[in-house]
Amino acid sequence: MSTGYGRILSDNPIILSNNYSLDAGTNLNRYLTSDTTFITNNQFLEDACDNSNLPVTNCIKVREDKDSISALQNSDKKWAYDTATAEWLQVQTFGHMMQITDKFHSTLTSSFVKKGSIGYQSAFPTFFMDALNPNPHGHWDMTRPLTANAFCKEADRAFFNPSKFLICLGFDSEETSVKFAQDNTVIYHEMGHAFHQVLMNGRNRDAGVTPASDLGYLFYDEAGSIGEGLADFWSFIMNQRTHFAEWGLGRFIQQSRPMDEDDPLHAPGIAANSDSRLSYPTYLLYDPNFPDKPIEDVHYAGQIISHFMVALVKDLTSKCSWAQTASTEVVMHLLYETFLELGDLTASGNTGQTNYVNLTQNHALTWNRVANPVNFRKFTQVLSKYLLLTYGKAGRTGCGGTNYDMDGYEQLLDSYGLLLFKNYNEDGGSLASGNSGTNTVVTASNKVKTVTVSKDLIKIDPTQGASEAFIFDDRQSMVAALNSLKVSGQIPGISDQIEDGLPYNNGNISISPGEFVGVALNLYNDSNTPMAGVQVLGNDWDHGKDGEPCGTFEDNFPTANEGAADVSTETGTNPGECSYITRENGDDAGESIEPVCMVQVSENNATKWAFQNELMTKIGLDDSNCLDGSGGNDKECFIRIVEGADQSTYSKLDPKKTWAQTVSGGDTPEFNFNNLMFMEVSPWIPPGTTFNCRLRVRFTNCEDCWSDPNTITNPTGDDYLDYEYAGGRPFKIINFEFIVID
Amino acid sequence: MIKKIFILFSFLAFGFVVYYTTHTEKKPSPVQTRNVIKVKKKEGKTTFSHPKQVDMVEHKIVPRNVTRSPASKLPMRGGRFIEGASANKYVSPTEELEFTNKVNPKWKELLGEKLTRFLPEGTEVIVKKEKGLIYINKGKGQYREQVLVSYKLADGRTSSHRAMVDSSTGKVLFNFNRQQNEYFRGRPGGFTHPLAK
Repeated sequence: MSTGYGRILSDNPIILSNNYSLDAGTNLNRYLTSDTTFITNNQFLEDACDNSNLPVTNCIKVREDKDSISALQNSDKKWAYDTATAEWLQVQTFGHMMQITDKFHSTLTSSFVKKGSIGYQSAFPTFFMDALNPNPHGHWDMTRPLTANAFCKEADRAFFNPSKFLICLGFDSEETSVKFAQDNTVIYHEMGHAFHQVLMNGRNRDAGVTPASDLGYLFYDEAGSIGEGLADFWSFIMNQRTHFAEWGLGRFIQQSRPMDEDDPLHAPGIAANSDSRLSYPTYLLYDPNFPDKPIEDVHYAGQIISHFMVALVKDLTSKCSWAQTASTEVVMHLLYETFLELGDLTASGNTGQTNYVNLTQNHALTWNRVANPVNFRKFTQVLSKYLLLTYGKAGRTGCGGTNYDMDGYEQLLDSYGLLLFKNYNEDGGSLASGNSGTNTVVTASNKVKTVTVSKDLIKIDPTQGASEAFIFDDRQSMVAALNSLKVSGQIPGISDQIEDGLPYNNGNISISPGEFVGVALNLYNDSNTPMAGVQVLGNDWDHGKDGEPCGTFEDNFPTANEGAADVSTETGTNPGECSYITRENGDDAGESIEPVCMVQVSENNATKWAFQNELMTKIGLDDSNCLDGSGGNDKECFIRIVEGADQSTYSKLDPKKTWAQTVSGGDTPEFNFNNLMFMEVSPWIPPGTTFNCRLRVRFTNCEDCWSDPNTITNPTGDDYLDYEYAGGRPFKIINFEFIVID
Repeated sequence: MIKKIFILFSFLAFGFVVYYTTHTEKKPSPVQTRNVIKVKKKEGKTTFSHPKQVDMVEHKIVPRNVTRSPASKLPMRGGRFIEGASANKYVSPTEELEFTNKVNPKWKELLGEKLTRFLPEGTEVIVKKEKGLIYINKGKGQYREQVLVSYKLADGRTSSHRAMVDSSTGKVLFNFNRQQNEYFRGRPGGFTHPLAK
């Protein structure tokens, strides 16, 4: 064994043995070959990454688990171990981490150069990987290495932790000799998450901006699904195989995943032709291992993306006469540009632009997380834009001497049900220029399979006797929920008015003073087409004026008699008016945003709707007893939707069904954290008080949620500008009214 | 005479040593490849070539000749990073800046009290300060602390995330960089509702 070298498995044991029934206790040494792999010339299992314009000195490090003092040490620097040892797991992990990181950095550097050679509006920062840029660099976290715990003692689990820049590879609790690090595709998948984090924050790090954006914020959301599908795709990038984790997840847990319709694991009826693709939203709940059992899970929803990406690679290979590896690298380039733009919390999006994405720097995180998050529509639109700019535009010659066939591409995208946008939105979302640029319009005739639905057709279940919403207030469940929400970091905190142990939670499935509750609207799809990516927003938005609620939305609620602000003199052009939407999420002069929940108060022998501060004044409650405490926001004095848990998501609603009916498969439906919005209920609420939370609802394949549907005023179907998502126009407003009972 | 011969011999020996060390051809170290892309280091440059990609530009990565002056460092004031709109304007301590809060030396204790609420017994919480900031919004500054919050549960599982904290109240303003978990052999339990069918 030469110094610096070791032996790792070149693929997972199933592939190497060609035995899909391989025993858990198989001696994996037999699948090591006489070939050796360069590991490192350091005596510790850590090394630099030098395949980019700016090498990363302190790049990768592997240790056994979190209690290890350091990376694995071998003074001889000869990294040959028995595969049954923890040492080998670490060498195996390190070897594959270095291979994939080399690939990442080299292709990232190529992409950075490509944008200069082709010439287009790019998301790469100008001084990306520039040694003279003293800010943290965009292509890696330069402050610490990406560390892997190759045998972390977490049963049945793996994770990527961006706050510690750490990967954990656990083990199978039932087949304890099976360690996830034995399967290189699992390593590649977790590394994919790390790369996504790096890329989403490439522009942020380059500009020295805190905090960081994530790809996915809930237990299930479409951004997270896209992340999982692309993490699988990283395995394809490395080995060009269209199946992931045959050994680590497939053999004993039945959770391996295909990336191509021709995979034998797929259910009958799925095929690589325009009518039978793994399409959105049809296959969002599809687990190929158990095709008859719908499951709302980011990993399975993500398969639609992994399949599309592989299909795109193949299409480029065919149409541009490239080697498949070359096509793969072109697709990687598109991903890099897409992530750099979507995750940008400076809101620039593209070099030279201002507020092109995510509204403004002050509110970029809110936009990225809830107001205009990454979903299947947004992701494919931005990816498609960069494909158009680099290879598809007329005059481009990079695809076999000509430009790439964008008509064919749109048809491919449509076959996956993903042709969800009307134009490529090259002009972005800024107020200054977002509706004034020249956008490439999607050819309408290419949209055959993708179906969009009017937002008007999503509503509360009209079935007689059906609940409008499901209230979760069982004490044990909510205590556990709070624990999980805090430990996971989903919510920043809870009001001091909510007592430890939730003693007021009485489990009567209603809302009572002092409770902490979960709320799930009972939404119904009244159309003949599945609705997907349903999102209910409970964050603050622009629906008030001069302290009174606006009644200027489609539902005309409340009326003037019911307490709506006077709009008789409005022109719609002045800040502060109901018909004028804040351009900076309430920061602009004369503008404000309000919490969603209003309260019914009595006045002059009548009732009206008002913001909660009015009730506070009326009952003489000191603001120190409000949920937000003294000096806080009195408009959420009594009912507050907890930030971080201020949205709920639902993968799919089948036609003429509710979400519960869609996902339950005949069983009792199980709600996950993403299906609930969480609410604090003040103990000071007089029982019998009526509240109305003005929630906004939309979904991904919505016809009129993402652009003005009026073809006269918006003939090109240009997207709504970012600021519009602080208002009501892109949404279906659903009023969740309830009485707080004792 | 002997002395002269010795001096001459020494000179010749020295000259030979100098000549040998400066003219010996160094053996190239073996190419160490880790991945499928052919990477060859030639004369300080790294080049990539992709077979059959005649239409693609060959990407040569060369040291960049930078003619501009170095970029400015991250703006700081009083030892804290400044972020937000027009942050650069407030770098100088002489530039007047009104603050909406003050730094409470006990912010960490206050944060700890808030973090430990609703956690089951046996949960360890570790807070590590990463940096202090001043956040500019509407021309006013807010003192903030960026921290790393780590949890270790009684069953041994761990989780961590970053948090932005109000330096005055210890209240978490928002979290980010949350752990992304993959669950095999069963997912965390959800909620059922008697009326949901």
